[in-house]
Amino acid sequence: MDLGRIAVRALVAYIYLLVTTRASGKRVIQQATPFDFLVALILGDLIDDCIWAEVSVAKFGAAVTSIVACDLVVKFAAMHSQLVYRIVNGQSRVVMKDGVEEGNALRHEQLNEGDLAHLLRHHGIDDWKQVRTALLEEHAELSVVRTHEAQAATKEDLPRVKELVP
Amino acid sequence: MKRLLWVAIAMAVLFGVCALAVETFDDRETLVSPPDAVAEGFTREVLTKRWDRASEYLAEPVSTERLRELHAALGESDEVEAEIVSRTDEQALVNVRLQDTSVSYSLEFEQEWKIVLQ
Repeated sequence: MDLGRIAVRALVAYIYLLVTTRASGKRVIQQATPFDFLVALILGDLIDDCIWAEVSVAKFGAAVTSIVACDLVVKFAAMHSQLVYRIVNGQSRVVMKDGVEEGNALRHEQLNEGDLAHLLRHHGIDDWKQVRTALLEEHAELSVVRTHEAQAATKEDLPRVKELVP
Repeated sequence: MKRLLWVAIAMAVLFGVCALAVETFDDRETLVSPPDAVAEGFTREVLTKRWDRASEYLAEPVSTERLRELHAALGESDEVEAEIVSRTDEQALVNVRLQDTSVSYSLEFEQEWKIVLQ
């Protein structure tokens, strides 16, 4: 197959994906939900057929546009409806409270204690007693609220420090 | 919903570019699937007995029976390799080699390459 033609198709496909994904919003990878990842996989698979000329560029464009348009409509609906948002993105779940893991929540998210310990270590937490609340967010990232004692001192702690230090 | 409009505009521009390439610059192999890729795709669909998808490659619809006959003639093969024998802007002849046999297809161009089954 002519290398020049492959390059032209790859370039057209690249520009088209760039334009459509830019048009579809500024979400960054860190904000991506599992469904965003799925959409990215589908788009990634489509470009393969286009580059090897298994489908015409117009058919590739129609397929990409359909997927991106569907995604936009779903995101628009999710932005305006809490119910749709929960269906599409799921919801954040408390997986640990006051240093004790929430067994049901962990099972629901298909995590075990080892996974939770791993996620907590990413936050520099080895002692679970330091955790007031740990939430698994929609985009599978763990948010941790530490107990007051485990938090770094701030300006608000100054009177207490003055009390302790004569 | 303004974003949806931008995506629709992007698609319209892409379709325009494809139409311009085909109609004005006589593109027959770059933004459209070349005849060898079409012949190869058709043969794979016939080999895997996907008659509906195979029919999409044809210029004129044929009966499923005709496709079954073709499948029987092709036999079983994992290897499918197409080669353009001749090509003008409107017609092409493609030879497809399989494991034990080979088959030739005539194609004609109508917005994209389509196979003309005799």
